[in-house]
Amino acid sequence: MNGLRLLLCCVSLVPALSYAGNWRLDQAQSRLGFQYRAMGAPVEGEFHRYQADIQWDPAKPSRARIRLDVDTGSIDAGLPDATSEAIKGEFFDSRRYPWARFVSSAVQPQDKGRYLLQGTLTIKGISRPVSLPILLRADGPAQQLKGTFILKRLDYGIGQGQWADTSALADEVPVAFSFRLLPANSPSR
Amino acid sequence: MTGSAYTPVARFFHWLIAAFLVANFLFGLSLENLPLSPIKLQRITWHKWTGITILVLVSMRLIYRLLVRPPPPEPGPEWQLRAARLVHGSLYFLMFAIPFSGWCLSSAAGVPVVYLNLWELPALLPKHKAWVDGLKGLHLGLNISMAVLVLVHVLAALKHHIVDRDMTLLRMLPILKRYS
Repeated sequence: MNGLRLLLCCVSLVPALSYAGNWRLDQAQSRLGFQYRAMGAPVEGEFHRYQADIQWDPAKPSRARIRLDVDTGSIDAGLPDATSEAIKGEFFDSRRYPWARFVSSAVQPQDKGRYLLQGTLTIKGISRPVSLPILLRADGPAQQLKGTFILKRLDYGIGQGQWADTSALADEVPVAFSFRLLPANSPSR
Repeated sequence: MTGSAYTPVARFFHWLIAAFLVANFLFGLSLENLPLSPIKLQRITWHKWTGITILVLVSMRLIYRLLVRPPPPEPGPEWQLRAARLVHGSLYFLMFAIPFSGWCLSSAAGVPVVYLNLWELPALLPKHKAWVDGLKGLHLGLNISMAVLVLVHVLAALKHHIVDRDMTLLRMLPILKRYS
C-alpha cells in the first residue's frame, strides 16, 4: 500500500520534472478560472495549481510549443461543499487523474497579438482536440497571455451519474485564463 | 356587523404569506443536513425563490397596510394592546429581515439568486467565505425568533377567540362568517 502510494506520488511528480521552455509562469499573477451554472445560478471557481512548459519565440510563433498541466486536486469550486465534491470520482476523480493537460499542436497567428492555439485537452483520461483563441501582450519583459473558451464538461465525463443532468449543472462551462509569463532565465522572486 | 373586519385584500395577504412562510420555514429546515446533490440544489433554489416571493408579497402588503389602515384592535387591557403592537411590528420586521438575510447569505457564498430562472438579482454583499457561517446563523436565528413569535401570535388569537370571545380571530379569517 505504501509502495503504491509512493509510486502514485512519483507519477504525479513527473510533469514537474520536464519543464524546459524559455518562459515560466508567474503563478502569483496568473489565474485559471471557470464559471459553472448550478440550477441556473452562475458560480465562480478556479484552479490554484498548474504548471506550464512554454517554448515561444515571438519571431516564429508558429513553432511555439505550449503545455499546461493543471492539478485537478487544486480546484476551488466556489463553495466548500462543491469543492469537496469536485475532486470525487463523479467529477475530476483527482486521485486517479491528478493532472489535466493541454498540449499544443499548432499555433496560427491571427491579427495583432491574437493567435489560435490548437491542441489536445486531456481530462480524466479523455483526450479531445480543442482550439483556443488567445491574446498575447508584452508587458515589460513579461508576456500576458489571456483567453476564454467554452468547455463542455460532459465531453470529459466531468459530473457523471446524478450530476449528468444538465438542468442541475449546465454542460457548457466558460473557462477564462490569464497567465503572466516571465523569461525562464529571469530570477524568481 | 362586519365594520371592524380586515378587508378581503388584507386577509388574502395575511393567509397567503402565512402559508408561504410556514412552508418555506419547514422546507429550509429540511435542507440543513442534506448531502450535496442535484435534488438539494433544486430545493435550495426553490427555497430562495419562495423567499424572494415572500419578500415581494410582504412589500406589497406593507404598502397596502399604509394605504388602507387596519381596523382598530378589539378593546382590551393596555399591556395587551402594547404587546400586540410589539409582536405585529416584530413580525413585519422579520418578514423582511429573513428573506434579506437569506439573500445576503447567498451573495456572500458567491451564488447569485436567479429568480424563477429569469432574473439574476444583484448581490447584496461581496463574496466573502468568512461571512457565510455567521450569516447562516443569523438566518436561522431570525427564523427561530419568527417561529416563537408566530406561536405567540397564534396562541394570542386563540385566547381572544376562546377566552375573551371577541372578534380578533374571526375578523381575519379567510372566509368571514356572519358574526353578531
